[in-house]
Amino acid sequence: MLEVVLNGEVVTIEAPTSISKLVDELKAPTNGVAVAVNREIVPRSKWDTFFLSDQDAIEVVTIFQGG
Amino acid sequence: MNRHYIENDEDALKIGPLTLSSRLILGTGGAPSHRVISETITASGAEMVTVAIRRFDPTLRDGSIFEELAKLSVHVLPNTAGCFGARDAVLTAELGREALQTDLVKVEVISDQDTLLPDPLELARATEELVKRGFYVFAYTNDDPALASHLANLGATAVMPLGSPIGSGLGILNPHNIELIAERIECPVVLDAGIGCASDAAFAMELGCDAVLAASAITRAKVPKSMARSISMAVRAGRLSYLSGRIPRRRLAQASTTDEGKPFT
Repeated sequence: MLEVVLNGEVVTIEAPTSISKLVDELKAPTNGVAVAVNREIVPRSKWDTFFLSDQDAIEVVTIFQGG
Repeated sequence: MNRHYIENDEDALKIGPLTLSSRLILGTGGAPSHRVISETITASGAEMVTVAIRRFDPTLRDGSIFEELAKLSVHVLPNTAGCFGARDAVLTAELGREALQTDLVKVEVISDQDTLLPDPLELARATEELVKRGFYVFAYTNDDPALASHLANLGATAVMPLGSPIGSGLGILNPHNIELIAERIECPVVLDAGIGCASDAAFAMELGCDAVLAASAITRAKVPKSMARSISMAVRAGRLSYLSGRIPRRRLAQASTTDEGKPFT
């Protein structure tokens, strides 16, 4: 198991977990979503092959209404 | 501007890689629902809307607005609202680029939570870095002609001076500065923030701005849909008024009727 910080909250996830799996488990839509790990963007093309490590800080974002 | 008559339809706005026939950009913040956003976009005829980048939250009913906007085929301009420094603004811009597959970004770097006024130094840093990274930078800025010039020289696609603080509805507090910015800056100038009602939008265009961004004035109006229409018409009216050339101001009256042929003289 891995302990990571997902959108500001400490959570435990299975190892190995790819970004694709994480996004899928969050039930996030695939379009209009972006992911950063440790303040680095992980492009969609690498979601399948990017596996998370212990203590990673992950941001999964989407677009919201805003000025 | 030697045309005898200027049709609004011929007067498209070229901004970065885009050509827009509507000079109103809609901010989507403050709307009570996604449905209201869709209605205001349709009612205003706006072709570009701003959005924010926020953490995905599976518990929210009105979560991502992506699908809603995709249906309307509008250009989406992600912003960096809420960022306090250039570093966060650049990362947020990159998230927006990845989420929306767009190189457009509206850069907001604020200095404090109460006024939400732009931080000039961090804004310039963020603009420089984002231009370097190939973004089309729409820079939300203070109503300061010197700063606006710096941002344009750094390669901003558009400068977006505030009329007054975000969401204040105080209108254009320093029209002289806005006019100077519109006169001096080569790239498009978009009046951003502070619009309270239609006349504010018309005034911005009459001062020479190339476009207006309105969010709260529309989304928080009692009837957002009709305010969207009203502000859209005001932008068109203000643009036409600007192109038509206002008469000079005079201290004293100048009769519009000739004295020649006046009876009893």
